[in-house]
Amino acid sequence: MEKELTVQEQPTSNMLVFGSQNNFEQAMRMAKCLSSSSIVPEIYRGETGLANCIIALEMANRIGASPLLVMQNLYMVHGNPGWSSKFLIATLNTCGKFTPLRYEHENRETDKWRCRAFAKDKTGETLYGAWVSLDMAKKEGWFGKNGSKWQTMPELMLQYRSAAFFQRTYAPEISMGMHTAEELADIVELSYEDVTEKVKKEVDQKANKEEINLPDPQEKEQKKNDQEKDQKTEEKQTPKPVGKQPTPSFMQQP
Amino acid sequence: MHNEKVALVIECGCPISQLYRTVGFNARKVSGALISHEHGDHSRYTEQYLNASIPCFCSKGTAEGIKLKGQRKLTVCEMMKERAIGEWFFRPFPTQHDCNEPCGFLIYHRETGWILFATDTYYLAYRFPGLSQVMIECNYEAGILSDNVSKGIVKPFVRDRTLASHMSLENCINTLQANSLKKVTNIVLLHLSGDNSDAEKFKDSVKMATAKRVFIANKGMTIDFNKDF
Repeated sequence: MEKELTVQEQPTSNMLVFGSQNNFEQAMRMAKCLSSSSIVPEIYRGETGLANCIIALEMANRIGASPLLVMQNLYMVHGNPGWSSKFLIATLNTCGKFTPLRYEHENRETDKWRCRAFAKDKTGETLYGAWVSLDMAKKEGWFGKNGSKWQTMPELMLQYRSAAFFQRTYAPEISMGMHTAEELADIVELSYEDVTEKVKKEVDQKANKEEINLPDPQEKEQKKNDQEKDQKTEEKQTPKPVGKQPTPSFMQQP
Repeated sequence: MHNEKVALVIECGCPISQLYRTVGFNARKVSGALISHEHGDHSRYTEQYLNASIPCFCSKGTAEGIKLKGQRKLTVCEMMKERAIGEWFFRPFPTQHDCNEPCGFLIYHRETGWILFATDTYYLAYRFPGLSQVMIECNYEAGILSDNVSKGIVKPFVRDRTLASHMSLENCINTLQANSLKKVTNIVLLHLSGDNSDAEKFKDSVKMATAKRVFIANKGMTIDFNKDF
């Protein structure tokens, strides 16, 4: 019998982790290695970080970046994953579709300060992102929050946000539908209302105030049974008049 | 809860197969089931219990909240009214949770004495003298919860919900201390949060505060609830 030589395909670098069982197993091996590293951020370490590593590998493959780069630039903000803005800008700059991002500012250092990102595509056409203004930041509630970077470094925040807006409209595939970490910090906390004091007040006012008596239900039941028994025996002891009975037919005289 | 002859189910959050295993496949000894509120982890398998001819008792609001497909109906209980099922007596009382008419239960059996069952409530408005057993929620610790919010593990709105619907370790201890625990033989801490609790710390803290036998409710554990233990 002749032995046939077959050409075995080498796995490509663009491996889709969830594309096949083989890929997944390969990714598992890589993830195990990564999760045992002390260089990767904490959410990727150990047994619990294994699944995060696989997701990071998948993302890295999709956007063509190094897994370590993805891990170091993917942040968890209030439980949601988000890219760091600088990583997103770097990815945009190196994606090859556009020239590196540039920013246009208007009315600097005033209340009407606004900024937009722009770049040229391969045809030479200039593409402009949406305007981001301080007024918008105030109306959206990003500016007034405790510890907001909009108050201390407005220029950087305007540029970061305008870059995010540009990317979302011209290259949404880069962020894979995720927000930037800065955006998440601004957006997610919006609906937050601290109810600690309200709850504490209510608990202080209402907790453990009323007392419920707990009689022994068995005793109660026993008493009820005894009463019923007494009633029955009384009924037995005092015969009731039965009244006049009809004479049976066989006793009736014709 | 069960002995050789009778059993009472508290909450219908487990499949009935689990109940059958627990009672040694003797379904006839199950007197009934009590449901505190309509959330899935407490009522998901109600239909199975009803179909097995186990009467299920709950408040009116809870009965409205549980969607049943079949013809069998839940038995609605009036708050604070004592009721008997077989050898058991029980009295529902209002609790504080983010749903329609939630309740806790005071349950009595001659072997156990009065049992307080209160879960999914951020405080209890009542005191209960003469309890023999306590099963109470101890969901989170304020410090752990705050840490988790700042680390991003718990979202702020989830924190809001937790504060206004579940009992903290501090409130749990306050509630226990507000009651006379003279006759109490067991305290079982229920419904510990996966992220915001520390079982060993909770157990030790409650033990220190009450000087009673304290258990953390875990799947498959058995506790002797005899009042004369």
